[in-house]
Amino acid sequence: MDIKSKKCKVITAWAAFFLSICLLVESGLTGLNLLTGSGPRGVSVKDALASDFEETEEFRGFVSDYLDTFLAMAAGGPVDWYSRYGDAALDDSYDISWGSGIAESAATTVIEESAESAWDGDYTSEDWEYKTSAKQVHETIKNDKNLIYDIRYNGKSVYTNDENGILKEGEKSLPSDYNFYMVFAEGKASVFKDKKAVDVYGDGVYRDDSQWRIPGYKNFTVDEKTKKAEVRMAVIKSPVNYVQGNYSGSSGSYYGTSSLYDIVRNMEHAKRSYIAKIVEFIAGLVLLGVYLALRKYKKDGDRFLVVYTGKIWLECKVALAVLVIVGGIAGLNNYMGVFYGWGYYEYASEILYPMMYSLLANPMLLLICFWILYLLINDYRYNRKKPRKILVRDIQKLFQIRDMEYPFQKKMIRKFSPVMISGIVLSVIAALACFVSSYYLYDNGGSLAMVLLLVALAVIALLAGMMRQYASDNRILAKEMGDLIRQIKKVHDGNMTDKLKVPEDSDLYDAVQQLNDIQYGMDTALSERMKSERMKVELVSNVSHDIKTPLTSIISYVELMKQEENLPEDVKDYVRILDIKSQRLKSMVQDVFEISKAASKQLPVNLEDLDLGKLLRQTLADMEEQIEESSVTVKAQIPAEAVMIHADGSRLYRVFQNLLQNALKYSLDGSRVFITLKTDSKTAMATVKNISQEEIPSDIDFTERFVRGDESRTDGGSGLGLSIARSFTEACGGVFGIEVDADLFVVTVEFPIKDI
Amino acid sequence: MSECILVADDDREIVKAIAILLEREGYKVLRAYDGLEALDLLAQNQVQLILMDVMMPRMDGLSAIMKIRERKNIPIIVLSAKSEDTDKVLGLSMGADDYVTKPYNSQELLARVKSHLRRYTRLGDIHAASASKEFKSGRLCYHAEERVLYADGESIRLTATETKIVDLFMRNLGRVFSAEEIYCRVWEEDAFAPENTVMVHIRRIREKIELNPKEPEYLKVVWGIGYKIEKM
Repeated sequence: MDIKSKKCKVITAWAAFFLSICLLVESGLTGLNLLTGSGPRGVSVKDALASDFEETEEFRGFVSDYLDTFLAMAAGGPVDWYSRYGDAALDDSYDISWGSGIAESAATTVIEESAESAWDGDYTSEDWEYKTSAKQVHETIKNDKNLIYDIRYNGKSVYTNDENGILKEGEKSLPSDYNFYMVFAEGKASVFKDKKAVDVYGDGVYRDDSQWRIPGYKNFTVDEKTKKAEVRMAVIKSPVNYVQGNYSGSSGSYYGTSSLYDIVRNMEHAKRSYIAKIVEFIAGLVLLGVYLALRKYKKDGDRFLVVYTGKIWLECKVALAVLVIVGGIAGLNNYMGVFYGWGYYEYASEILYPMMYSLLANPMLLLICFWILYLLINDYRYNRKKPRKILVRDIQKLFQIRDMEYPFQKKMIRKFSPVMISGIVLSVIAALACFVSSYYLYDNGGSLAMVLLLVALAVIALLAGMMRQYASDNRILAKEMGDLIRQIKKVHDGNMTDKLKVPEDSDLYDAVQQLNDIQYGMDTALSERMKSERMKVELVSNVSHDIKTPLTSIISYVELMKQEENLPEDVKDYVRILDIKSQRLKSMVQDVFEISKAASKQLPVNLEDLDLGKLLRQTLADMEEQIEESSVTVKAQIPAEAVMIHADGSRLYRVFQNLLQNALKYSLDGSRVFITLKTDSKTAMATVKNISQEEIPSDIDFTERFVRGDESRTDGGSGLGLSIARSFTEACGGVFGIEVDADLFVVTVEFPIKDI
Repeated sequence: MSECILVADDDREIVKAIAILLEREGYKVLRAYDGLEALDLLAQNQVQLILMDVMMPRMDGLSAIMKIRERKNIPIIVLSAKSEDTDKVLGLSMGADDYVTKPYNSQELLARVKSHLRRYTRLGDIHAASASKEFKSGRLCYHAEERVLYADGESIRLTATETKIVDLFMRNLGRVFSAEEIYCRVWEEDAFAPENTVMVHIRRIREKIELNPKEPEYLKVVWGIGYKIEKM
């Protein structure tokens, strides 16, 4: 599988997981809220999904309330205006109306407020019950033609907004756009919907779950005075909004809106949000399915997230976890407290209710908490074995890094200072504590308190004094330690003469003496070694001189013999062999001498800036004849531009001459020798590659002196060629390397590039 | 006329071998086996050139050279097994004219002896005939107007290209020329991979002017930089 499609799958799986959880939690919360009776906008499922608003509990509550109001108006008493909101669906708005109010109830409160402002009686304690005069109520609602009413008392119309007289003839003559009709007379109500009678009282007993909360049951009757009232009302089929602006009120302008229209509109909105929740839930389920199908990849996503969460300091994570958990619990407690306080004890006893109410009232908060916890647990799951990123440790490290810059003495003092500061702070606190306690004890124990205080002060003084002494001792010790450490660095850097002196009573006296001894020992050993190196070179020099003198005679007489013409042929052959061998001996003596000097770093080098590429070309040109005579082809890949290095040209010439001669001598007939020069920003690397004629033994260090690939070989070569090449390269500051890959023999010479 | 050469070495076989070599060429050879003996022989005979070893009993070669230089101006060639640069510098600064390391190459030794003798005996002539424009370095002398190179007073036969190269070097003794520059100046063309071409000519010139073309003294390669004729 290619990486890209896998990446896509991982992202898809994780996104599906994330969204499905979000959607399911959000819609699930709505579901849970429904169980507790608080659907969206305070509307129950049944009402929200009803096709006809007149069939809803909400509407029945509305009618019941208005009937109450109209009966009160008919009886002529003040109207308990508020009570019409006491229907079951608006139970929650009980406290809301008292408080600032929330969106759902905002619409319904408007008329209420306008009604309230319209009432210009004195504000008494009864204001809380929103008593309003019947006339005011009539003035407020009469223009709302959604509800046509006719209120009569003793057969006489008291209040009506039925200007067109549509209520006069009863349900039979209602215009077609008013399809709900109710008449209340003689203490009983009759309800007609679409001109058909509706059963209001059932078996005639009023219960909590009775559909209509209107008088007329056997156990729900009206007083004698009210019996004389007659109320007719008709409700429009499709409510429209009626707005009444009140500009003459004592507390500014208000807009009264039609409460029926508001109820219907609210139900429509509730319906929409129910549908939205259901869609959410289904989408959540679908995404959950997608996630389950791809859950293998979702784990990769988890692991990917872990990389990032792993970078967060452990302290932050713990703090976040504690915040979320404690915050959640505290929030629950808080809400539980509220509910207990509000007397919802019987609901609160169901432990689910307050929990749901608190967290579930805010799905966003719940989701944030959930995802934080999820990330933390995920992090814990995969990062358990890995080293954690700990803030304290990082801060410590930062301090340590800063501390490294100080010399040892400062470091030691800096390390002690926190101890000292905390000691001082502790002493001061202890002294204060003693002082305070003695102050309180003084009343009871008198002299004992004084003694205690004095002892405490004495101990504190002693402690402070001891700490001061310790600090000053430490300072001296730190200074001596610092000196010792500096001295160790000096010895390390090769200073063999400076001796360190400390007083004899110092703690470090022995250590210093021992270091001095080590320094002396090293000094002696070093000079011994230098001497022996020098002697070695001298020895080689003397030996080579002593060899050269007899060799001179040998070569001279061989030369003379070569010039003899009348020698027998076989003798001439002997002379030829003598000539070759004596010449080889001559070059070997010279080579051995130079190698021994290079090995003891006494080879004089004359370093200058030169072009390595040019040097290689010159060497190739210089050896052109040899190359042409040989059976191999030399291929050079040398860049045309200058490759400047700092080295000794004539030594390097020897290096490449030896390497080339080696390659010419030991290469397979007809093969190619490659000479390349490659550069990067810092180094120049020259390489000589050739295919060996004979098999190359794998376990040989070719730069050892007198080593040759073929031990039995006697032709040419002193066996010093590569050894000289390495010695000279290193004497010039280069790096010499040999690699053998089967029959491929590769020599590299590397030099740092000199910036021009 | 045969020039008289003094050979001083504590190794009798070497002295004998050198004597045979020189006598075959027609020189008269005086043999000494230590420094004092050499000084004695020098006092008694007319000597045109001295070959002197360094490490000898009684009096070493360098002390002998200092003594000789107090009175005489004849060419002295040091013949030593010491091959260090420092030894060479010491020998030359003591008054020696040349330094040959043992084991020596017979041909080279002969060439050097001849070279020094020529210069010693004809030095006066060359100076008298000196042209207005000449560039000198050791054994070499280049007459710029005639475009002729003399080595030890004898003119060298050079081809036209070789002459151009020598002209460039001799007019700028000691200066290093890169192959590209030489090519541009001599062939008057842009150089493309000139190293081999230049090297071939340099090798030919060396064969004509150097005593030992394998270890050139004058026409040298400055590795990694270019070529030059040493100023001596």
